[in-house]
Amino acid sequence: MAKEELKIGEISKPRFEFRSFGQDFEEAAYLMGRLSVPVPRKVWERESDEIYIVSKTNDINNTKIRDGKMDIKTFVTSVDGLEQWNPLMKGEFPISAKVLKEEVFPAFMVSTPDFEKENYSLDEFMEMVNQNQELQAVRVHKERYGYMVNNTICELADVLINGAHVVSINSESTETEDIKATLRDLELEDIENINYLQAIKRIIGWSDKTLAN
Amino acid sequence: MTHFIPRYEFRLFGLEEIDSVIATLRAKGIAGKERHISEIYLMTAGNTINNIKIRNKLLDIKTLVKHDDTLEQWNPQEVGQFPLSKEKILSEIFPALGVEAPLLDKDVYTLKEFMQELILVDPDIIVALTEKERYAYSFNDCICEYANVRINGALLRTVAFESENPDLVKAAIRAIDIKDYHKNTNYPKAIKRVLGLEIDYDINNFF
Repeated sequence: MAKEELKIGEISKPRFEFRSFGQDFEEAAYLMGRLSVPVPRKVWERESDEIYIVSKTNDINNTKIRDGKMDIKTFVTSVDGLEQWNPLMKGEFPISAKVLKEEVFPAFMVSTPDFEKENYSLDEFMEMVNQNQELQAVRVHKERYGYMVNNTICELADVLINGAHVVSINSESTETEDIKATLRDLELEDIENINYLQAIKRIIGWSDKTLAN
Repeated sequence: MTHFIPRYEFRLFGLEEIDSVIATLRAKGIAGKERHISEIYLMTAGNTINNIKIRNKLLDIKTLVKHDDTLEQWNPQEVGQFPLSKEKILSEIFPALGVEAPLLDKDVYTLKEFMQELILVDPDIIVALTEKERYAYSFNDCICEYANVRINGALLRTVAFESENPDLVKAAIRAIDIKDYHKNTNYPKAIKRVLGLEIDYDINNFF
Protein backbone atom coordinates (compact mmCIF):
# COMPACT_ATOMS: atom_id res chain seq x y z
CA MET A 1 0.00 0.00 0.00
CA ALA A 2 1.37 3.40 -0.93
CA LYS A 3 2.35 5.64 1.93
CA GLU A 4 0.28 8.75 2.49
CA GLU A 5 2.12 11.99 1.80
CA LEU A 6 1.72 13.98 5.01
CA LYS A 7 1.05 17.69 4.84
CA ILE A 8 1.48 19.83 7.91
CA GLY A 9 -1.70 21.52 9.05
CA GLU A 10 -3.96 19.29 6.92
CA ILE A 11 -6.24 16.43 7.96
CA SER A 12 -4.92 12.89 7.41
CA LYS A 13 -5.96 9.46 8.60
CA PRO A 14 -5.22 8.86 12.32
CA ARG A 15 -1.56 9.44 13.14
CA PHE A 16 0.80 7.73 15.51
CA GLU A 17 2.77 10.01 17.77
CA PHE A 18 5.95 10.17 19.74
CA ARG A 19 6.16 13.08 22.16
CA SER A 20 8.26 13.81 25.16
CA PHE A 21 8.67 16.52 27.76
CA GLY A 22 11.68 17.76 29.70
CA GLN A 23 14.06 20.68 29.98
CA ASP A 24 16.80 19.82 27.51
CA PHE A 25 16.28 18.59 23.95
CA GLU A 26 18.91 20.90 22.51
CA GLU A 27 20.77 18.24 20.49
CA ALA A 28 17.57 16.73 19.06
CA ALA A 29 16.27 20.21 18.26
CA TYR A 30 19.48 21.01 16.38
CA LEU A 31 19.21 17.77 14.37
CA MET A 32 15.52 18.40 13.70
CA GLY A 33 16.30 21.82 12.28
CA ARG A 34 19.13 20.47 10.08
CA LEU A 35 17.22 17.42 8.79
CA SER A 36 13.89 19.11 8.16
CA VAL A 37 12.63 19.85 4.68
CA PRO A 38 11.23 23.37 4.24
CA VAL A 39 7.78 23.64 5.82
CA PRO A 40 4.92 26.07 5.10
CA ARG A 41 5.41 29.48 6.68
CA LYS A 42 2.15 29.12 8.64
CA VAL A 43 3.71 26.36 10.79
CA TRP A 44 7.08 28.00 11.40
CA GLU A 45 5.86 29.44 14.67
CA ARG A 46 2.46 29.05 16.27
CA GLU A 47 1.31 30.33 19.63
CA SER A 48 -1.79 29.25 21.52
CA ASP A 49 -3.46 29.32 24.93
CA GLU A 50 -5.35 26.23 25.94
CA ILE A 51 -7.03 24.82 29.02
CA TYR A 52 -6.63 21.10 29.60
CA ILE A 53 -9.14 19.37 31.84
CA VAL A 54 -7.46 16.46 33.58
CA SER A 55 -9.28 13.78 35.49
CA LYS A 56 -7.86 11.66 38.29
CA THR A 57 -9.78 8.65 37.03
CA ASN A 58 -8.94 8.83 33.34
CA ASP A 59 -5.79 8.41 31.26
CA ILE A 60 -7.34 7.62 27.89
CA ASN A 61 -9.28 10.76 27.00
CA ASN A 62 -7.47 14.03 26.45
CA THR A 63 -9.70 17.10 26.81
CA LYS A 64 -8.66 20.60 25.89
CA ILE A 65 -10.34 23.91 25.23
CA ARG A 66 -8.94 26.40 22.73
CA ASP A 67 -10.63 29.50 21.33
CA GLY A 68 -13.90 28.59 23.06
CA LYS A 69 -13.96 25.13 21.48
CA MET A 70 -13.69 21.82 23.29
CA ASP A 71 -11.78 18.97 21.73
CA ILE A 72 -11.59 15.47 23.21
CA LYS A 73 -9.21 12.88 21.79
CA THR A 74 -9.25 9.28 22.85
CA PHE A 75 -6.39 6.80 23.02
CA VAL A 76 -6.78 4.07 20.39
CA THR A 77 -3.69 1.92 20.46
CA SER A 78 0.04 1.78 21.03
CA VAL A 79 2.40 0.23 18.48
CA ASP A 80 6.07 -0.10 19.34
CA GLY A 81 5.61 2.57 22.01
CA LEU A 82 4.00 5.02 19.59
CA GLU A 83 0.51 6.17 20.50
CA GLN A 84 -2.49 6.66 18.26
CA TRP A 85 -5.22 9.06 19.37
CA ASN A 86 -8.51 9.70 17.54
CA PRO A 87 -10.94 12.60 17.87
CA LEU A 88 -13.80 11.63 20.20
CA MET A 89 -15.82 14.84 20.17
CA LYS A 90 -15.56 18.46 19.18
CA GLY A 91 -17.90 21.11 20.51
CA GLU A 92 -18.23 24.83 20.84
CA PHE A 93 -19.38 26.81 23.88
CA PRO A 94 -22.15 27.23 24.82
CA ILE A 95 -22.44 23.44 25.00
CA SER A 96 -25.73 21.65 25.57
CA ALA A 97 -26.41 19.75 28.78
CA LYS A 98 -27.10 16.71 26.59
CA VAL A 99 -23.57 16.75 25.14
CA LEU A 100 -22.03 17.35 28.58
CA LYS A 101 -24.05 14.50 30.06
CA GLU A 102 -23.63 11.99 27.25
CA GLU A 103 -20.16 12.75 25.93
CA VAL A 104 -18.03 15.09 28.02
CA PHE A 105 -18.47 13.85 31.59
CA PRO A 106 -18.38 10.17 30.51
CA ALA A 107 -15.02 10.98 28.86
CA PHE A 108 -13.76 12.33 32.21
CA MET A 109 -14.92 9.07 33.84
CA VAL A 110 -16.32 10.91 36.85
CA SER A 111 -19.86 11.05 38.16
CA THR A 112 -22.14 13.27 36.10
CA PRO A 113 -23.46 16.36 37.89
CA ASP A 114 -27.08 17.48 37.79
CA PHE A 115 -27.79 19.83 34.92
CA GLU A 116 -30.31 22.58 35.57
CA LYS A 117 -29.89 24.45 32.29
CA GLU A 118 -30.13 23.51 28.64
CA ASN A 119 -26.84 25.11 27.64
CA TYR A 120 -23.62 25.96 29.47
CA SER A 121 -21.16 28.74 28.75
CA LEU A 122 -17.41 28.22 29.19
CA ASP A 123 -17.53 30.03 32.55
CA GLU A 124 -20.38 27.83 33.75
CA PHE A 125 -18.61 24.69 32.57
CA MET A 126 -15.41 25.76 34.36
CA GLU A 127 -17.41 26.25 37.55
CA MET A 128 -18.57 22.63 37.28
CA VAL A 129 -14.95 21.54 36.81
CA ASN A 130 -13.85 23.58 39.84
CA GLN A 131 -16.58 21.97 41.96
CA ASN A 132 -15.43 18.45 41.11
CA GLN A 133 -12.48 17.21 43.19
CA GLU A 134 -11.62 14.58 40.57
CA LEU A 135 -11.11 17.21 37.85
CA GLN A 136 -8.62 20.01 37.40
CA ALA A 137 -8.31 22.76 34.82
CA VAL A 138 -4.73 23.45 33.80
CA ARG A 139 -3.47 26.47 31.86
CA VAL A 140 -1.22 25.60 28.96
CA HIS A 141 0.54 28.16 26.80
CA LYS A 142 2.33 26.78 23.73
CA GLU A 143 4.90 28.25 21.39
CA ARG A 144 5.32 25.62 18.69
CA TYR A 145 7.95 25.46 15.97
CA GLY A 146 7.11 23.14 13.05
CA TYR A 147 9.46 20.90 11.05
CA MET A 148 9.21 17.87 8.80
CA VAL A 149 11.72 15.03 9.03
CA ASN A 150 11.43 11.69 7.18
CA ASN A 151 7.92 12.68 6.10
CA THR A 152 6.84 12.95 9.74
CA ILE A 153 5.37 16.10 11.18
CA CYS A 154 7.70 17.32 13.91
CA GLU A 155 7.64 20.12 16.39
CA LEU A 156 9.66 21.61 19.13
CA ALA A 157 7.66 23.60 21.67
CA ASP A 158 8.15 25.86 24.64
CA VAL A 159 5.22 25.04 26.88
CA LEU A 160 4.08 26.78 30.05
CA ILE A 161 2.02 24.52 32.29
CA ASN A 162 0.34 26.61 34.98
CA GLY A 163 3.08 29.15 34.23
CA ALA A 164 6.09 26.84 34.58
CA HIS A 165 8.27 26.06 31.57
CA VAL A 166 8.94 22.72 29.90
CA VAL A 167 10.18 21.80 26.44
CA SER A 168 8.27 19.34 24.29
CA ILE A 169 9.49 17.54 21.17
CA ASN A 170 7.46 15.32 18.88
CA SER A 171 7.22 13.37 15.65
CA GLU A 172 3.93 12.15 14.24
CA SER A 173 2.85 10.28 11.16
CA THR A 174 0.44 7.70 9.87
CA GLU A 175 3.52 5.49 9.33
CA THR A 176 5.21 4.11 12.47
CA GLU A 177 8.39 3.21 10.56
CA ASP A 178 8.87 6.84 9.54
CA ILE A 179 8.57 7.96 13.19
CA LYS A 180 11.05 5.30 14.30
CA ALA A 181 13.52 6.43 11.63
CA THR A 182 13.06 10.01 12.85
CA LEU A 183 13.68 9.04 16.47
CA ARG A 184 16.90 7.32 15.35
CA ASP A 185 17.98 10.36 13.35
CA LEU A 186 17.16 12.76 16.20
CA GLU A 187 18.86 10.47 18.75
CA LEU A 188 15.64 10.22 20.75
CA GLU A 189 15.35 6.43 20.78
CA ASP A 190 15.99 6.10 24.51
CA ILE A 191 13.65 8.91 25.48
CA GLU A 192 10.29 8.04 27.05
CA ASN A 193 7.14 8.75 25.05
CA ILE A 194 5.15 11.12 27.29
CA ASN A 195 1.88 12.55 26.00
CA TYR A 196 0.39 15.88 27.10
CA LEU A 197 -2.00 14.28 29.56
CA GLN A 198 0.80 12.37 31.30
CA ALA A 199 3.18 15.35 31.31
CA ILE A 200 0.54 17.56 32.93
CA LYS A 201 -0.28 14.91 35.55
CA ARG A 202 3.41 14.53 36.41
CA ILE A 203 3.87 18.29 36.80
CA ILE A 204 0.78 18.83 38.93
CA GLY A 205 1.81 15.95 41.20
CA TRP A 206 -0.88 13.47 40.17
CA SER A 207 1.75 10.94 39.11
CA ASP A 208 4.99 10.01 40.84
CA LYS A 209 6.83 9.69 37.51
CA THR A 210 9.26 12.33 36.30
CA LEU A 211 9.67 14.04 32.94
CA ALA A 212 12.27 12.79 30.45
CA ASN A 213 15.05 15.08 31.70
CA MET B 1 16.49 22.62 69.76
CA THR B 2 18.12 25.06 67.38
CA HIS B 3 16.94 28.62 67.85
CA PHE B 4 16.25 30.69 64.74
CA ILE B 5 15.51 34.37 64.39
CA PRO B 6 12.54 34.83 62.05
CA ARG B 7 13.46 36.73 58.89
CA TYR B 8 11.41 39.06 56.75
CA GLU B 9 11.27 38.00 53.13
CA PHE B 10 10.33 39.36 49.73
CA ARG B 11 10.34 36.74 46.96
CA LEU B 12 9.28 36.70 43.33
CA PHE B 13 8.62 33.80 40.98
CA GLY B 14 8.36 33.95 37.21
CA LEU B 15 10.29 33.57 33.99
CA GLU B 16 11.15 36.50 31.70
CA GLU B 17 9.08 38.87 33.84
CA ILE B 18 11.64 38.73 36.66
CA ASP B 19 14.76 38.75 34.46
CA SER B 20 15.34 42.47 35.02
CA VAL B 21 15.25 42.00 38.82
CA ILE B 22 17.74 39.13 38.63
CA ALA B 23 20.00 41.13 36.31
CA THR B 24 19.99 44.08 38.70
CA LEU B 25 20.76 41.85 41.70
CA ARG B 26 23.66 40.28 39.78
CA ALA B 27 24.97 43.71 38.81
CA LYS B 28 24.63 45.41 42.21
CA GLY B 29 25.02 42.52 44.67
CA ILE B 30 28.07 40.63 45.91
CA ALA B 31 28.05 37.05 44.66
CA GLY B 32 28.26 34.24 47.20
CA LYS B 33 27.91 30.47 47.06
CA GLU B 34 26.21 28.44 44.36
CA ARG B 35 24.28 25.43 45.60
CA HIS B 36 22.31 22.65 43.95
CA ILE B 37 19.61 21.29 46.23
CA SER B 38 16.88 18.64 45.94
CA GLU B 39 13.87 19.00 48.20
CA ILE B 40 10.47 17.40 48.68
CA TYR B 41 7.61 19.81 49.43
CA LEU B 42 4.45 18.42 51.00
CA MET B 43 1.46 20.40 49.80
CA THR B 44 -2.22 20.49 50.71
CA ALA B 45 -4.97 22.76 49.42
CA GLY B 46 -5.98 24.01 52.86
CA ASN B 47 -2.57 24.89 54.28
CA THR B 48 -1.48 28.46 53.57
CA ILE B 49 0.80 29.22 56.51
CA ASN B 50 3.20 26.29 56.77
CA ASN B 51 6.02 25.60 54.35
CA ILE B 52 6.81 21.90 54.85
CA LYS B 53 9.83 20.42 53.15
CA ILE B 54 12.36 17.62 53.39
CA ARG B 55 16.01 18.06 52.45
CA ASN B 56 18.66 15.41 53.06
CA LYS B 57 16.17 13.46 55.23
CA LEU B 58 15.64 16.54 57.43
CA LEU B 59 12.06 17.76 57.68
CA ASP B 60 11.54 21.41 58.51
CA ILE B 61 8.49 23.59 58.74
CA LYS B 62 8.57 27.33 58.20
CA THR B 63 5.53 29.07 59.56
CA LEU B 64 4.22 32.41 58.40
CA VAL B 65 4.41 34.65 61.45
CA LYS B 66 3.09 37.88 59.98
CA HIS B 67 2.77 39.77 56.75
CA ASP B 68 2.03 43.27 55.58
CA ASP B 69 1.40 44.55 52.07
CA THR B 70 5.06 44.08 51.13
CA LEU B 71 6.85 41.52 53.30
CA GLU B 72 6.30 38.21 55.03
CA GLN B 73 8.01 37.00 58.18
CA TRP B 74 8.69 33.26 58.39
CA ASN B 75 9.77 31.28 61.43
CA PRO B 76 11.77 28.13 60.62
CA GLN B 77 11.53 25.09 62.83
CA GLU B 78 13.46 21.85 62.40
CA VAL B 79 11.10 18.96 63.07
CA GLY B 80 13.96 16.49 62.81
CA GLN B 81 15.88 13.96 60.80
CA PHE B 82 14.29 10.76 59.53
CA PRO B 83 13.60 8.24 60.98
CA LEU B 84 10.93 10.24 62.84
CA SER B 85 8.77 9.10 65.72
CA LYS B 86 5.06 8.49 65.45
CA GLU B 87 4.54 11.22 68.08
CA LYS B 88 6.35 13.86 66.00
CA ILE B 89 4.47 12.88 62.87
CA LEU B 90 1.13 13.09 64.66
CA SER B 91 1.80 16.18 66.75
CA GLU B 92 3.78 18.32 64.30
CA ILE B 93 3.60 17.22 60.68
CA PHE B 94 -0.05 16.35 60.09
CA PRO B 95 -1.34 19.38 62.05
CA ALA B 96 0.90 21.56 59.87
CA LEU B 97 -0.44 19.89 56.71
CA GLY B 98 -3.98 20.56 57.93
CA VAL B 99 -5.27 17.12 57.00
CA GLU B 100 -6.42 14.27 59.19
CA ALA B 101 -3.65 11.86 60.16
CA PRO B 102 -4.09 8.20 59.25
CA LEU B 103 -3.67 5.40 61.78
CA LEU B 104 0.04 4.91 62.35
CA ASP B 105 1.02 1.32 63.04
CA LYS B 106 4.74 1.92 63.54
CA ASP B 107 6.54 3.73 66.37
CA VAL B 108 9.19 5.12 64.03
CA TYR B 109 9.10 5.90 60.28
CA THR B 110 12.00 6.05 57.86
CA LEU B 111 11.69 8.63 55.08
CA LYS B 112 10.73 5.89 52.62
CA GLU B 113 8.05 4.49 54.96
CA PHE B 114 6.76 7.99 55.70
CA MET B 115 6.45 8.81 52.00
CA GLN B 116 5.07 5.45 50.85
CA GLU B 117 2.73 4.65 53.73
CA LEU B 118 1.52 8.07 54.87
CA ILE B 119 2.01 10.66 52.15
CA LEU B 120 1.72 9.20 48.66
CA VAL B 121 -1.43 7.26 49.58
CA ASP B 122 -3.22 10.35 50.90
CA PRO B 123 -5.28 11.99 48.12
CA ASP B 124 -5.27 15.30 50.00
CA ILE B 125 -1.48 15.59 49.98
CA ILE B 126 0.40 16.42 46.77
CA VAL B 127 4.16 15.99 46.56
CA ALA B 128 6.32 18.49 44.70
CA LEU B 129 9.85 17.38 43.94
CA THR B 130 12.03 20.43 43.51
CA GLU B 131 15.51 20.82 42.09
CA LYS B 132 17.04 24.20 42.86
CA GLU B 133 20.13 25.87 41.43
CA ARG B 134 20.61 28.65 43.96
CA TYR B 135 22.94 31.63 43.53
CA ALA B 136 23.51 33.53 46.77
CA TYR B 137 24.11 37.28 46.85
CA SER B 138 24.52 39.95 49.46
CA PHE B 139 22.91 43.31 48.78
CA ASN B 140 22.01 46.19 51.06
CA ASP B 141 22.90 44.03 54.09
CA CYS B 142 20.24 41.55 53.02
CA ILE B 143 20.65 37.86 52.27
CA CYS B 144 19.60 37.53 48.65
CA GLU B 145 19.44 34.86 46.00
CA TYR B 146 18.16 34.03 42.61
CA ALA B 147 17.47 30.45 41.61
CA ASN B 148 16.32 28.20 38.82
CA VAL B 149 13.73 25.92 40.34
CA ARG B 150 12.25 22.83 38.77
CA ILE B 151 8.90 21.93 40.29
CA ASN B 152 8.08 18.35 39.31
CA GLY B 153 10.30 19.01 36.29
CA ALA B 154 8.80 22.34 35.19
CA LEU B 155 11.00 25.42 35.43
CA LEU B 156 10.44 28.70 37.25
CA ARG B 157 12.93 31.31 38.36
CA THR B 158 12.86 32.99 41.72
CA VAL B 159 14.62 35.94 43.33
CA ALA B 160 14.51 36.77 47.04
CA PHE B 161 15.61 39.35 49.59
CA GLU B 162 15.72 38.46 53.30
CA SER B 163 16.74 40.05 56.56
CA GLU B 164 15.78 40.10 60.22
CA ASN B 165 15.29 43.83 59.70
CA PRO B 166 12.24 44.59 57.52
CA ASP B 167 13.46 48.10 56.70
CA LEU B 168 16.58 46.67 55.06
CA VAL B 169 14.47 44.40 52.85
CA LYS B 170 12.20 47.28 51.87
CA ALA B 171 15.20 49.45 51.05
CA ALA B 172 16.73 46.64 48.98
CA ILE B 173 13.65 46.09 46.86
CA ARG B 174 13.29 49.86 46.33
CA ALA B 175 16.84 49.88 45.00
CA ILE B 176 16.35 46.86 42.73
CA ASP B 177 13.77 47.93 40.16
CA ILE B 178 10.82 46.04 41.63
CA LYS B 179 7.68 46.90 39.63
CA ASP B 180 4.10 47.15 40.89
CA TYR B 181 3.22 43.90 39.12
CA HIS B 182 5.96 42.06 41.03
CA LYS B 183 4.00 40.58 43.92
CA ASN B 184 5.64 38.95 46.94
CA THR B 185 5.08 35.24 46.43
CA ASN B 186 6.32 32.60 48.83
CA TYR B 187 7.40 29.06 47.86
CA PRO B 188 4.18 27.27 48.93
CA LYS B 189 2.07 29.76 46.97
CA ALA B 190 4.20 29.42 43.82
CA ILE B 191 4.20 25.62 44.05
CA LYS B 192 0.45 25.55 44.63
CA ARG B 193 -0.09 27.58 41.47
CA VAL B 194 1.92 25.09 39.42
CA LEU B 195 0.14 22.15 41.01
CA GLY B 196 -3.25 23.82 40.56
CA LEU B 197 -4.01 23.42 44.26
CA GLU B 198 -5.78 26.74 44.41
CA ILE B 199 -8.92 27.18 42.35
CA ASP B 200 -7.78 29.37 39.50
CA TYR B 201 -10.60 31.91 39.18
CA ASP B 202 -8.65 33.80 36.51
CA ILE B 203 -8.58 30.80 34.21
CA ASN B 204 -11.86 31.86 32.59
CA ASN B 205 -10.07 34.95 31.32
CA PHE B 206 -7.07 32.97 30.10
CA PHE B 207 -7.89 33.24 26.41
